[in-house]
Amino acid sequence: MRRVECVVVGGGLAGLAVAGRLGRLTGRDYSREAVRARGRLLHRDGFRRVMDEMFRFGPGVYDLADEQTTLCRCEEVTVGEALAAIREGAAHVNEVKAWTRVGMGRCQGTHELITNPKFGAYSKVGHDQVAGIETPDDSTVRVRLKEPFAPFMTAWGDTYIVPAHILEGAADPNTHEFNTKSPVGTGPFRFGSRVAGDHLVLLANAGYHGAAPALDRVIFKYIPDLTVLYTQFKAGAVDVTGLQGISAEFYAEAKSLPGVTVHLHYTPAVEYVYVNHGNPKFKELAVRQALYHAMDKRAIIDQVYYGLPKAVEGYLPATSWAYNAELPRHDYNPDRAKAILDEAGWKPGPDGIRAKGGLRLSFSNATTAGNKLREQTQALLQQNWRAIGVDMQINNMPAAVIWGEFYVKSKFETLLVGIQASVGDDPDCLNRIHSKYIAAKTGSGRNVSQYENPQVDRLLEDGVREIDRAKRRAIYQKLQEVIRADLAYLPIFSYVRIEGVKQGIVNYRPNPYTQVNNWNMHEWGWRA
Amino acid sequence: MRQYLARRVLQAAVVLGLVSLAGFSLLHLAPGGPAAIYAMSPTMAAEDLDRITRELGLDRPLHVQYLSWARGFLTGNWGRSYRDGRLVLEVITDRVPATTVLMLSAFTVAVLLGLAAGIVSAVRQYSLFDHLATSLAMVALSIPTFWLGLMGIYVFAILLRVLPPGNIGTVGADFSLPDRLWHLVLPAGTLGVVMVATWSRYTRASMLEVIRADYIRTAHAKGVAGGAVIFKHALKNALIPLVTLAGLQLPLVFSGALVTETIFTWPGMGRLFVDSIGYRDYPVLMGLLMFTALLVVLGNLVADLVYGAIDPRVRLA
Repeated sequence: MRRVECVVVGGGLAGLAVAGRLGRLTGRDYSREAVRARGRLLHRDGFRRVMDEMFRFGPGVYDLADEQTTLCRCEEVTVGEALAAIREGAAHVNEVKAWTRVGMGRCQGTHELITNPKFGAYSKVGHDQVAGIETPDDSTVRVRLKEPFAPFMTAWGDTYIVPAHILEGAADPNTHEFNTKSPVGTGPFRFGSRVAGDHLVLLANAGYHGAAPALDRVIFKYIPDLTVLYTQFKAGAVDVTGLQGISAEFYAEAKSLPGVTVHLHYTPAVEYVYVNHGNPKFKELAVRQALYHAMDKRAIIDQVYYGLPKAVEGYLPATSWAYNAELPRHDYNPDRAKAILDEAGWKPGPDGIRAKGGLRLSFSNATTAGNKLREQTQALLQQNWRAIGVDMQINNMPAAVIWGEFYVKSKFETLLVGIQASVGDDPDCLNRIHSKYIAAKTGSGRNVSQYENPQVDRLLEDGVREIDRAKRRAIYQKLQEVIRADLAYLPIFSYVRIEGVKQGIVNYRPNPYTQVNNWNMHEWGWRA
Repeated sequence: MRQYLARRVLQAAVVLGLVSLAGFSLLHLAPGGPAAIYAMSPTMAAEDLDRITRELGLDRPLHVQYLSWARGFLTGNWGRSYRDGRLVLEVITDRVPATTVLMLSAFTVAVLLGLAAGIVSAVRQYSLFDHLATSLAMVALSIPTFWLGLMGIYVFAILLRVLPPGNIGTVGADFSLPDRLWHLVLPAGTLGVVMVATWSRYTRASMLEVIRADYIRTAHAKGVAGGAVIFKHALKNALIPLVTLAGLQLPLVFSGALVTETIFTWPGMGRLFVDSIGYRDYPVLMGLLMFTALLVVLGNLVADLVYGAIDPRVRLA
């Protein structure tokens, strides 16, 4: 127990030592100043010395403590637990505190932060279901949920623990310098330095509890332009292309580059045309079926995306354990589309555009302005649909506009959008398609297409309540079948991620369920 | 002189006020807003979005927001970036050195080469050199910077592998001057090419005008040596209009080159601006806007003062 002033003096002492080592202070100056500082410390530290004297441990107290002795009553940490932490590698009293919470109180810092309404966490999935967290022993965390929620483990797999002792007392956890300047953690790498918007340096963490990483240092370079990223990769300045990787148009060339390996794998994101079910034009299944039949998927995939993505019928990628491979295959058939519309009573008007009961089949389609591939896709769709008497106008907006209220509050007619509906590798998509999650109506959720189907709602609810994987698989296969039959969305293809890796890097293993493929970076290394 | 300065400073204050007002209104009237970044998160509830908007103060009437921003700006509190919560001043000053190095080197190269080419072109008007310089300048002015930059990368970094394809220094290496200079060649060269063209054209025009003046003929008639006439009599006077050009280009030096910095992944202010627009990061954008406006005003003031110093016909009062 020391007074605040002592810390200041202590800091001064450290500064003197640094100056001495650097040769900015002569030895004599250093000892004179240091003696003075130590004097001040003794003077100010009086309180501590008195306390120490008064509450001195009697002789032999340490010998009385055994593994079962409680060291910290609030947190119920025993001597044994603290010693175990030290054996596992805690090198400093602060690390023991961080590991065992000895003398800390309230251990759910990360969870509390995520559920803090003032904190802008990227995702709160699962955390809103937590009823309580217990730590029965030093290597177990037990989480109790309010009700069964099967995707919970996946959601927590994507949660990163932050130090409560730093953020607990922060006035505003959003702007705390932990986020930008001084992050700490217990992973294989530790924070080195960061130049905002340019790069981030990670250094191997010597105190890591697992096997030491093979790389001493990893640099994340921030290159927002994909063409620039590719040229730098080609020139050898980039070893691994992260995030969006290599654009489809460079794939053929990239494969032929010497000294690099190009990985191609499907991601859980699917490109869709979203129709707004709140709009009377799209209420009828016949209209959605006709739009789907008239869509020339092959042309979109081959002509716009260089034949790389894979046509899909559902919201899950083929790699998912719940993927339903039996869904009816899309059939490009404009004549069938016309017949369906004729039958449903949508007759072409004098301008060639079909109408029924005063409602014209004319609508707008929106996507992010400047996304060249999507703009080309729109042009193809426009032609496809025009051929069956449906008029589509293009209404694109910058990202900062379209993905705000326009999207969340379902103000679009149709949307061209790429979405990962599932949570990690869990097939749950409650938030995207359950009728309770229509933000325009209920205030929360991302069911922006305003799709409502009681059967789908029920399946989704059963899916998260069921823990047995075989039973869940049956539920989600049924769900995919129902969504496909009802054409809740018009799916186009499953995205591919193209990643370039310099030869010589070992243990690079793509995992489609992570945002960036550095999930096993601690295993990467350079071939000797 | 003091009165003149006081008047100019007052004018500058008014200009900056108007710039901030116009910039602020335009930024906020443009559709979309910073909340769209948060809206990308699949589980962000609509009420949370409303709360974030409220906390950022974006639900207040525009004039209230402006006044609160202006009060902060005048007291040195430029706000925090919406993207990572850092102080705006810190975000901007972080980027100043990279841009300054890049632009000053491009500027220096451009002025030296441009002046030389312009003088030779003017003295030897309609010579082969003049024709060549004129056509090359037209080509350089017409080429888009991004194309020139990408070609530079393709030829020197990918085909010949003699220059790095971008970045301010070797990624991960410690600071070293040769390394920095080596990385500077392509971006500064790309920017310099366009500037050289401008400077050589201006110098040529200005020199031609002066060379035909009576006092130059007089100097020649008095028997002053050719070189002395050009450098002592003609160049001195021809430089006067170029001071204006320098004054106008100076702010560019600091605001950075959006395209060049993007192509060469140069961590400067131009790229900061582009990134911040995408995020509708209002505080950073306003900070950059005011910073640039301040430099424009200063650049012009300095140019006018230099004018007064080098041109006896101009009296500042």
